[in-house]
Amino acid sequence: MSDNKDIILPDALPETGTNHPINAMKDSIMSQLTTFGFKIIQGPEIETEEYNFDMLNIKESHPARQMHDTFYVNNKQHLLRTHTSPVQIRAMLHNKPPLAFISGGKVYRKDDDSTHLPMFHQIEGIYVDEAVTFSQLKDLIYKIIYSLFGQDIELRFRPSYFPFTEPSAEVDILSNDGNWLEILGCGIVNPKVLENCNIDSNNFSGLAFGLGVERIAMLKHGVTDIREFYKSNLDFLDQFK
Amino acid sequence: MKIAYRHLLNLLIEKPSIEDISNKLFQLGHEHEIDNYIFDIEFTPNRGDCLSLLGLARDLNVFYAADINLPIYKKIIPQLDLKFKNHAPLSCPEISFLNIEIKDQVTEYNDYLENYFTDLKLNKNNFFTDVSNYIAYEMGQPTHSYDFNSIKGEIILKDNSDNGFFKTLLGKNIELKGSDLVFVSQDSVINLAGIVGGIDTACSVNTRNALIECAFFNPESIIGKSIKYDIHSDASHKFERGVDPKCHDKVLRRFIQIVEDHAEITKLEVYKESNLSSKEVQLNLDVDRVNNILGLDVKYEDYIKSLTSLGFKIDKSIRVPSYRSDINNQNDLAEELARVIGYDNIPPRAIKIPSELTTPSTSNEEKIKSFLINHGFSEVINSPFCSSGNSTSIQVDNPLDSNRKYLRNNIIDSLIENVIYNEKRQKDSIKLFEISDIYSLDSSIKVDRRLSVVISGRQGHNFKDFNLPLNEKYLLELFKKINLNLNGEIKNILRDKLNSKIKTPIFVIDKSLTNISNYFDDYEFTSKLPNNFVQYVPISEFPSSLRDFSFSVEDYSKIEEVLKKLKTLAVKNLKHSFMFDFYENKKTNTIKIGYRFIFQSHKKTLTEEEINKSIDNILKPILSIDSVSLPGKYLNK
Repeated sequence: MSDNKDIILPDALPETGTNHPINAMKDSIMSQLTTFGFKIIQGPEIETEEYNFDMLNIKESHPARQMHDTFYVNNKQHLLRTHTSPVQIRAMLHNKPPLAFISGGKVYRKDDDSTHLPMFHQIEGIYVDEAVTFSQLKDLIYKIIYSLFGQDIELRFRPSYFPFTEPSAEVDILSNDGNWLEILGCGIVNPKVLENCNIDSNNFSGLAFGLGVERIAMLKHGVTDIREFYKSNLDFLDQFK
Repeated sequence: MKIAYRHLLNLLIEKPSIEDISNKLFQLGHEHEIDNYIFDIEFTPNRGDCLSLLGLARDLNVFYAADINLPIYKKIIPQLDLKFKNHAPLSCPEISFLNIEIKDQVTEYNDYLENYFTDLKLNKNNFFTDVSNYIAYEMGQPTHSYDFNSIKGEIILKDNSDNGFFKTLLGKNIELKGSDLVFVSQDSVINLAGIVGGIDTACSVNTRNALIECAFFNPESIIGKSIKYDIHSDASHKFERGVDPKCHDKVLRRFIQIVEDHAEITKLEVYKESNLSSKEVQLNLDVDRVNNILGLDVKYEDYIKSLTSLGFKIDKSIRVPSYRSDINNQNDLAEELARVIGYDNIPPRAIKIPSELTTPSTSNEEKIKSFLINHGFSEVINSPFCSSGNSTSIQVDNPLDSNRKYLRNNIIDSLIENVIYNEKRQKDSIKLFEISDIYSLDSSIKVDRRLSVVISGRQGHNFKDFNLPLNEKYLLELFKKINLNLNGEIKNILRDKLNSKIKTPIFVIDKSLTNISNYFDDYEFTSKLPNNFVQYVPISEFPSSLRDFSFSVEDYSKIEEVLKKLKTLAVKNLKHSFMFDFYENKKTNTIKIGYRFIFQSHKKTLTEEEINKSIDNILKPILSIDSVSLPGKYLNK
């Protein structure tokens, strides 16, 4: 037996907690986007139809405006924003181009299943300047996707439809199992939206993009059921320390 | 929409393979799946013009020459003296009726009509309805076939706000509510316009004299009705997305041709009402503008060729075909050109966003989070919806259910639910926080960004914190580190109304960020943003079992080896382990090491025998270390 009776106390390191993985992902992406030149802006989650729909060229007849898709509050005087785009509308009304904004946060839609929740998180960006083009949008999207998934990821652009962009595109990445997965939506800002924000669409054009934070987080962390993020289960949260 | 490959080939002069067509459809933006030579295509909502064989062939014409001139009846058709009143010309600016009578019932269909039903596995109804459905598939224009002899009075189209009942031709009873566009005859609704016809005037296999209605309904008049009445018809799907307002003559002549292919026609008459201007949408022919939008240098001739192949007429300007209601400006034309080129074939051009920004400064909200996380708190995000509210709560007009009819006006209730949830999962050290906007209604909507914190149980699992409780004192001392005095602001939550048998005290703090933010001005922020993304391991829903052991070590030089082995255990079903006690017994000159092992399986509730087997695998290597023993038995079972 050793005669050494000096006690070296083992470490009793304080346990750390964790950022919520969705907020961590959101902040990480937004932090990356600021390095591309975007400025972070914020806005209210309770919005009006004017900012959430009308200013974005979403007509009254658009299905998204129906009671089965959007949460209305306060006797239909307001709604829970269905995207973070109204934040950008407010910013465009108060700033002159060139402007480059990103907004991230909670948005709400009337869904509730294993892949959709009534509350989820979105990040959207807009850049308005003289002669912004679709080919520049593509360059930006490549940068965003590469920063998220690495330079080796294969991606494709598909024509799509959003009332607030024209042309519009959806971007897919090729997953390890050979399936294409939709990652984000983007496009050239519809001139009507610029005009609604008192920006002369003959002199300025813009690009815009939006992505769902949960979707990216599910892919990056291998979470298959979106509801796991919101159970506040410490066994779940502790995995993201 | 389902479209059969071989039906599409009939309209394409070239005969591309299904794979070739599939690739081109993706390029054009028509996402789809293929099952047994049937395309199931999800068209974007602005492309109602593509919801047919003809529409899809028109779009594919840019790659494969398409013959879109379907055989039609070309003779003059006499006018029908129909008793019809249109009281809703804004909702229905274009409408035509065709009265068509055949000599004999039709019992057999020609190949093209028969194939439509067999290839797409559709049920037949009766001849006129079947032709109607085929026309919608082939040309995209829904028509409705009435049994003409069943209509006894004047037909009126109107916005109906009278409540009443209506039985659809599929036999479903509907209670009409609110405003609907309807066809009425003799005070009875005979057709829910653009959605579904009624049973009383529907064609049957015996019908030989039919009235075919061909209308253009403004999408705004139709949207929402199919959901309102839970009737998802092909017609409503097409009208909601917009049909060609100028196709009626061609559609009805095609209808006649198909009937004539099957039967001897004994009567033909047509009624037309048109309130729409026949003026086409015209746009400037400006290839430079389109190139500027896309960032390309497409030649004028190539631009013209692309648009022409998509059905646009070009002279001094661009004349938009009547079926393309989605084309209104130069950006729309740019998208057309981009689709023809292929989005993936447009080269990226370097973007440089002029930035006035330097590195963004860290917000105090981030510092607050960092402070709490560094002290063992985990951030949660809870649903904003709750079941009850008070006078300042904001009510959701259309909640998902009664449990979610208010917006929460505090975060604490959510955090307490989180505590109970985790206690039920055997968590004994719970430190959570949430930062969220909280909304309330006074004379206007008010927003307050708040921080709420909850604690319950042990301070931690390391041997120094294991026996210390999370209590008011803990919170006071924690926030004293940033000179924030919370004396009198920490609330002890009474357990008596909580759905829990556990009695461990719960303490909470709830503060407006504006009131505490400045206390964090000087706090050093440490980023916790992920560099590497962990792969989530699914959580077991089976109960865990814990076992505590107190190891005795006589030779102090062996402590490091003991601890190293305990830390690197790889034992089946061992979920977690930690040292909760480290104590020198000076009387016996031994070190006591208290260690907790938590076992859990992803497949089942573990038996005593399975746990003991895992324990043996833990103990064996530890007890093989010289001077290490395990006095007594397990502390817990």
